[in-house]
Amino acid sequence: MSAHDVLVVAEVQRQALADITLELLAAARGVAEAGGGQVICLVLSADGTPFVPALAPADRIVLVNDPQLADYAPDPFVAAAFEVVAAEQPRAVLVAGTSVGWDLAPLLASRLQAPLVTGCKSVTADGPGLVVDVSFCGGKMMAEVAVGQSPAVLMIMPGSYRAATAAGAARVETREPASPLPAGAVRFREWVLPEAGDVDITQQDVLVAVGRGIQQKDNVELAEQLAQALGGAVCASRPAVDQGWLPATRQVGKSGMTVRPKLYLALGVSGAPEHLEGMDGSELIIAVNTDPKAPIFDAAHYGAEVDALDLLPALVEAVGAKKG
Amino acid sequence: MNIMVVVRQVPDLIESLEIDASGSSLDWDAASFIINECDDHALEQALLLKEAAGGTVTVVALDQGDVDNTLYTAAAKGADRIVKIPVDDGWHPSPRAAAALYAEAAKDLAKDLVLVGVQAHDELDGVLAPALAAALALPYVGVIRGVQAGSEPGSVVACKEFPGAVMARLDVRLPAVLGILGADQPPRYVPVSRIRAAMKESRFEEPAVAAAPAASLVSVHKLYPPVSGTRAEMLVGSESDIAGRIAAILAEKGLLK
Amino acid sequence: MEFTRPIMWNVPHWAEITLYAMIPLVMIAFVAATVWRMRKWFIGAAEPGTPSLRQQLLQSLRPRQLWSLVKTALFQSRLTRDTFSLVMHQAIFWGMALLFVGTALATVDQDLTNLLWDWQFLSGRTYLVYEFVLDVFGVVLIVGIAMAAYRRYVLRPRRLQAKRKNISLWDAFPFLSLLLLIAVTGFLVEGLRIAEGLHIESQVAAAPSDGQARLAALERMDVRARLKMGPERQEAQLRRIAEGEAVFPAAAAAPVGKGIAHLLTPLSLDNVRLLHQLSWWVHTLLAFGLIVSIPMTKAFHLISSPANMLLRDAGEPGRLPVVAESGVRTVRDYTWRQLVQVDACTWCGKCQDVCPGYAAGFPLSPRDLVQGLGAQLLRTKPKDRDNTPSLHGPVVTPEELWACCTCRACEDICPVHIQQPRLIIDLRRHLIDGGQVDEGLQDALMNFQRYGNSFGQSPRKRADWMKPLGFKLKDVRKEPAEYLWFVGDYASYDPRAQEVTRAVARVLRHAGVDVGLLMEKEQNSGNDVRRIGEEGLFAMLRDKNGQELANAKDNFRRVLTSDPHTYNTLKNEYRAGGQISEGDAAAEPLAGKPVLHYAELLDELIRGGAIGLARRMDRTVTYHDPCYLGRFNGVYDAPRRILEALGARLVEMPRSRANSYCCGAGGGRVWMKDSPGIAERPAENRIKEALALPGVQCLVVACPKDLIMFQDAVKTVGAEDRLRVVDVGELVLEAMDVPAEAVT
Repeated sequence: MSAHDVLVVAEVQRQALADITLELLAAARGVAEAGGGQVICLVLSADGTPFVPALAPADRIVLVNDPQLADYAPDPFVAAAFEVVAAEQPRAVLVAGTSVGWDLAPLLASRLQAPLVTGCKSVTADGPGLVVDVSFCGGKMMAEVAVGQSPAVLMIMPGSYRAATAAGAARVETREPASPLPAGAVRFREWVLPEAGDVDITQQDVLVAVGRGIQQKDNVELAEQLAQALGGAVCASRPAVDQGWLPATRQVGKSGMTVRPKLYLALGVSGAPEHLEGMDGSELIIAVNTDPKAPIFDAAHYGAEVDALDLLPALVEAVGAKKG
Repeated sequence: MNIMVVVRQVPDLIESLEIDASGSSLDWDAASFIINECDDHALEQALLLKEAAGGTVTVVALDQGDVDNTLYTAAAKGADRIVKIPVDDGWHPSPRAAAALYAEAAKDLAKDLVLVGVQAHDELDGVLAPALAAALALPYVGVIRGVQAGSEPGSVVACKEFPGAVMARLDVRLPAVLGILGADQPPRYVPVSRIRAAMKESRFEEPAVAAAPAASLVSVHKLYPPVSGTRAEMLVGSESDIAGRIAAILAEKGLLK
Repeated sequence: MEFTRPIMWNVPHWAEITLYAMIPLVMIAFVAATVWRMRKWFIGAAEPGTPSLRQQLLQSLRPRQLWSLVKTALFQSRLTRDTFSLVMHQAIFWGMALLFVGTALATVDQDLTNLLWDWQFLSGRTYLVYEFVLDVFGVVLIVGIAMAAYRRYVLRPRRLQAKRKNISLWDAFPFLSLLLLIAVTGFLVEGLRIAEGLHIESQVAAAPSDGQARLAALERMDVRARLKMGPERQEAQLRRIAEGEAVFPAAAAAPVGKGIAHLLTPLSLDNVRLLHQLSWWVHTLLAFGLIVSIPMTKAFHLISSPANMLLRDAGEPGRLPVVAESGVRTVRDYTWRQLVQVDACTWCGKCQDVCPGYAAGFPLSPRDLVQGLGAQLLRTKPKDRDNTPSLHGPVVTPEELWACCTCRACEDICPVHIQQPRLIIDLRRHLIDGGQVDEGLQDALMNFQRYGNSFGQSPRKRADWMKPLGFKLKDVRKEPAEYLWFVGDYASYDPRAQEVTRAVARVLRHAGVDVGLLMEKEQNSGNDVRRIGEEGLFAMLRDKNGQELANAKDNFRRVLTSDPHTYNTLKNEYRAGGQISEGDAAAEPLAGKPVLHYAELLDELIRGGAIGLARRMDRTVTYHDPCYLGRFNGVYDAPRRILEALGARLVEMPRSRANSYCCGAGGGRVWMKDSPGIAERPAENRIKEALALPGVQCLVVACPKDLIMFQDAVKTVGAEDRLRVVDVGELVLEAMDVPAEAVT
């Protein structure tokens, strides 16, 4: 325990460790190093043991295993986190900007009487305090915010950091909550899952994304052809899913999936911040849109200002020719 | 069920945002305001619950931006009471300070359920929804898309949205505060003629609220427009030229197998 | 010797009495049923801003309106676009009309002049003409019915087939059969009578040639009783026949009757007489049946259609009346004029044939809609105010109502002047009032409210299209100009339409036209908003624009528009003054100032020599008449004159001018999702029409929405290399004797 430690709350989704945890660990390392502190990773779940190997970049891995932490309810999670944070008194608590994070971070901050900053893109140590770069107003404005008080709770936006790879000390501790975790007024009843049997776009190396620019459902077929030729799958922006062109399991973005494929080919996608959040960590982004001012071009590596519908058949042909 | 809804005015992102002379705040005078989208959903959810289970809907807002139009629209949609909290000119309270104001204004209000948008895009120092829950000493859960009356009286069922179209159904014992992302239905349309009628028939309640603004726990050094980083390298030519270039790039990167 | 029309020949006395006894009963039944139906027209609301029914009637009886009524009701001028229908209906109408007149004359002849003064005017040559004309028109009637039957039962066009139960292929069957049987039995009666006459003649000829024997023969055949006239005339007739003259000399002028008579001569005299009496009864009863059935069947249009034509709205088609912002929920919310219209429907289905929505596979049929309303009206009891059910759901569905693009093709082709779009928009107003809106539409309406445009873009950017011009345009709020140029949403914000707006700006600059604009203060004119049914929002937009116009009111003398939708509402609805909503803000600043579309202005400028055209356009083109410029406001020739001046070879589309086929964007449809069940979008249908014209390289348009819809459709159909969609303003710029870049 040290005032220079940085605590990361691991993001566990339905008994699986989410990749964003590794981004948080990278962020934590940057701040902890400056003060000579350690990176502590807090895992709240029914049993966090299977996640330990993946959490190697942390110095300390604190497992709080409790059946009440198997699914989700705010009170047990906040109580368990509060206990550990109150004991460790780190300089910062990093939480993922996810569904759980949006409850946990503010409720924890409230309990700790700690400052809370959302939308963080980067965190740097500044003497005893922290300087945070925050994206707000739908991505149209940045703020440089100074936080003096410790601990500070920071919600990190997905895609702000690359996943940490360098190994840390990775010492594992298992803790029991001091008193039984409160169930609270909000109780978990059940998970509601979308229809099964569809492609998991988060596991694809190649994604062909369709947006409003493909104009109608019939054109998804063209995108499917291209995806097949490239050995990948079709995904969609929110407007395309809202129109019913593809199921919600294919949605990329803030209220859909976060993906990090090797190739993200965005066709007729404008690149609203909510969408970019879900894919801007992709290795190679190629965007096609008739609007030269579309924000997608700021996130993409290559772009073309043509109609996706005109380009698609040519692209299928060119890819076929190149392969064969 | 007596429902309280908080609606906020936020800068309309359609217009370009200006930074004021100090460099550390938005130029509020230059901004045009619009109802916060999540709060619009919160209002819709409240109205749906009222239609299903009866009760009252009270809409509370700070006197900022285009609040009159927003409140009259809420009344036209079916809100029973509209409350406008006076705010000093030029003061844009942070979420934590605003939470104190709302809690103060609503202290005598019967509230079984408080619905607030889970976020607003101009929030910097904290988040309103959970801060309001703390100020009211009520339980909180957020990122909720859809609320229905519970099987037992004094409870509701809220659906919390997770990535990949996964939802968690939660039983919430009232009173509680919910941070709304979306309602069971998109916000309804109310015709201008009904808004005009509400302007004639509805009255604001304007409580005198004296809450000591909470000290800010963070300080904003400066605001700056996002750095675009490197813009995409644009490929030009005919569709077949561009397609050829893309195929070449993919081959180079070893993506064609 | 004078011969006259036989009166009740071979009709026994008791039959005559029965006939005359039945007549008042039939008349009472007819009048009662007619009144019963007509009362239903008045269960509704008053027509806004127009005179009462009585004043309306007086207005309608003025010479010009009367002549229009004569043309449409008597000469069926509304059917000129369909020759088969025109001939068929004229045949049936004039057949029945003349036979009716013939019967009327016969009644006067027998029950007035003969009864009172023992004199008939249907005698001699007059009677010959009478017989001939009636025979001919009897045949005309039968031909008309045969044509109708052929079309209905052999050709079986879509529009004469129905989905709803109360109309079916068979609805016309009883009526047509009745008419046919009446005509046939009429000829039969005539033929049998003439046959009897031939029998009598042959018996007279067979008798010994002295007069007495012959007269005796006539007495034996009981001929005297059949001559229902005064005793002297009877004697005269008997003598004439005894002398060997024909019993019915006028039969010579009745070819059909005579033909039938010759066919029936093998029958004995007694049988002929029996059959004659039977036929006479059948004919009489059928005729009474027809009269009684008129108010109870489709035949009621004989009364309701002319009534509707008489009472129609003679105002601008582009001006939509408003009774209540909350629209129509039950039949009682319609006005008397609308209810007369609904009852005037002849079930012809021509509206369905021309409806782009119907052709695209949308759930809309204007005919089914009107029929549904008509059926509901029939079910409504005038006194039963509290139990009138809502039309929404059982009679009309939201999908049906939202599918309308308000192009008014249906209204334009309706032979009896029904205004289907107005009926639909009133129902839409109710949906809007209840917040029941298509999602895409909701976004557009919210954008109109917040930003004054449907694109959801900042109003501050409304004048950004001017930036690439290289020269400044006046702000009409600050400086006076000849023209106030009201650009419109699409022409201001859509990138493709902006090209056209700039082209027009360059042409006007070169021609030295003095224009000024309202710049960012211009808001959507509201034409489509009104047609969506959001009347409150329309009033709001109109008031906002009105205030800006008022600020600039001394600074302009004429108004120029880029969009036919804007043109329509500024011209017809801004100056009408507020009907429901407060504020005539827009009326005063526009008073007395002409509103033009740029096609009209460019035409003026070219003809006046202000624009010099250097290049002749060596192209074959076709032109699409925009709904709101053409069908709504009658501007057809100005764009065509421009094309002629440009030297283009114009090939007309099969559906041009008033028959122009809507691109499908109107009535708010451009913002709505595709309707369920869509087969082919209207714009694609239109592009295929253009592509089928030999040698046509360009489709010329004069509306920004047409430009966008057709450019998209050309892509969808895959014809970009075959057909260029171009605006008439762009063509003028291309042809000008000064290159575009040189215009500064």
